Amino acid sequence: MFGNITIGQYIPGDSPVHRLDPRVKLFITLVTITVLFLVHTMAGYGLVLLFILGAMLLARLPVRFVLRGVRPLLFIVVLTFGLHLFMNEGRVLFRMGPLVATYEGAYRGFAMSMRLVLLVLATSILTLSTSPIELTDGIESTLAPARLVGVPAHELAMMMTIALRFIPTLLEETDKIMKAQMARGADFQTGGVLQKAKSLVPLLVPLFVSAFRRADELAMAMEARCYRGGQGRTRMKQLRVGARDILAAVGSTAALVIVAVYL
Amino acid sequence: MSIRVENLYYTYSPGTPFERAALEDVSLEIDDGEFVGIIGATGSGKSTLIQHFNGLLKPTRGRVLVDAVDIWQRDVRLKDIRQKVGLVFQYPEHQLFEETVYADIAFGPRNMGLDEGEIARRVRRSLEMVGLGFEGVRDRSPFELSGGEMRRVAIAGVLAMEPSVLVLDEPVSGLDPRGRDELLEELEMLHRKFEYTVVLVSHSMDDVARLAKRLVVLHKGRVVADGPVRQVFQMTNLLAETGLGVPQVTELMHELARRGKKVRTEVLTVEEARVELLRLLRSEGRVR
Repeated sequence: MFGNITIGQYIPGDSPVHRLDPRVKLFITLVTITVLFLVHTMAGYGLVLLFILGAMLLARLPVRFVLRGVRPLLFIVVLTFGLHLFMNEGRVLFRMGPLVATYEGAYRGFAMSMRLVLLVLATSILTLSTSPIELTDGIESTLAPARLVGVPAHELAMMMTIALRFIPTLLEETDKIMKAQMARGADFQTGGVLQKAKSLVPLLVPLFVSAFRRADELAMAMEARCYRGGQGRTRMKQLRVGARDILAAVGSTAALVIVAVYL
Repeated sequence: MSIRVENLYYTYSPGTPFERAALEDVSLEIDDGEFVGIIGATGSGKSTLIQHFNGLLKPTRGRVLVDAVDIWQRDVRLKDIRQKVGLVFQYPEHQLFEETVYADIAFGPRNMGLDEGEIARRVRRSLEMVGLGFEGVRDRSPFELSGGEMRRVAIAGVLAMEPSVLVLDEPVSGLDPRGRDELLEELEMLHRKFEYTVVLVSHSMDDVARLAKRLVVLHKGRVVADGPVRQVFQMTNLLAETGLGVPQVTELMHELARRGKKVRTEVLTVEEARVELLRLLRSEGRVR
């Protein structure tokens, strides 16, 4: 039932992109996003798209699978395009009753839609090619300097690791409880808003009960292994930036900045 | 009431890198009044298969017929199918949500649109079927019951729909030996006294040996054996290959036979083993 959710999913692999240091990947993703908001010409979007597609191929990710992650966004994209199409002033493209579509609107709508789709694509390449553990390690290490001003970097990273780790578990649990209640004749689809909200009670109560139980068990298991926060904790896998990472970071940043400046 | 599965295929997450075939070309029929055990190692497709029996999963290919009607035809109401085929999930106590035991068991009947009088009758009846006193538990919170009691309440919640087939996925897992014995006895009573058709999914050979008349063995999403319990438990090699075994007493008899003792190997329960061993000892002149 929830098999189509690609957010936070990770596809194990051994591509050059998979092997990059997570911090470098985070950095490149951030640069890509920034550039996406700076460019404003078709050629610029085209080049960023090319860059993202290149990364996707280099990561050996199944393109169709990645594109499927965009599907939930379709409604927002269509809405954005529609709003821009009709809400802008300019040369008339066509009329629909009181609504006037303009060339300028179509152009801006297309640009905004492109921005949204590319945003999702760029971030999904990051999560699809980086295991959640690596990702949070990267975030922790990036945030480390902020510890000096009182940011609990390790705790934040640990919370994120746990949250990410439990997304699939909770989805599975939701699926199971839904089915169990459907076996007792529950109906989650039909009825008005109120009816639908009410029909969620048999799902949410067991889900919360089980989430609390799991949290409790996890806390116990962590304590049993002497977990007491990040102080003095060593790692099995040390993050190390190698020549390849520097090359990737400098190369992509340079390319993206050029795109941002000239287009 | 019969369930028939024809050339069933089911694939999880089709079209993604996580695609996995869970069932391949499964065909089987469960007749009215049978007590069928479905066994198989973890990941063999047992749970996936039984979720097809009441239309919770839609086959990727193949058909599921309940009472000779294809349940995925357009005019079939799946709600009716789910009422006829009661499915008890593994750890069913995790689905409890109401404030009182009464309200939780009434959930199913209420979804069927029954009136309060009928609901009350069904709650009382199903609680008694699982061996809990109606007056004692009706107003208690399901969350303050013991593990075994919670499981019974959850099973009662399915029985209250008055299905004609009861499908249970590992109903005794996680219970202590006593809770497990009691629950198995109740299942047997449901089958004998209330004439339920029962499908029991388990990986405990001893449990299915005790209760089921017929066994279906699943291995990697395929049916590799289907027949009377005694016959299936003679296939020791096949069962070993699928990562299963035979009941402990059957194992004992096979071991004795290997060591040259003349014993019947198609023994399933401790009681049968006792009779057979006494016969052996008598024939050897060790007891009179």
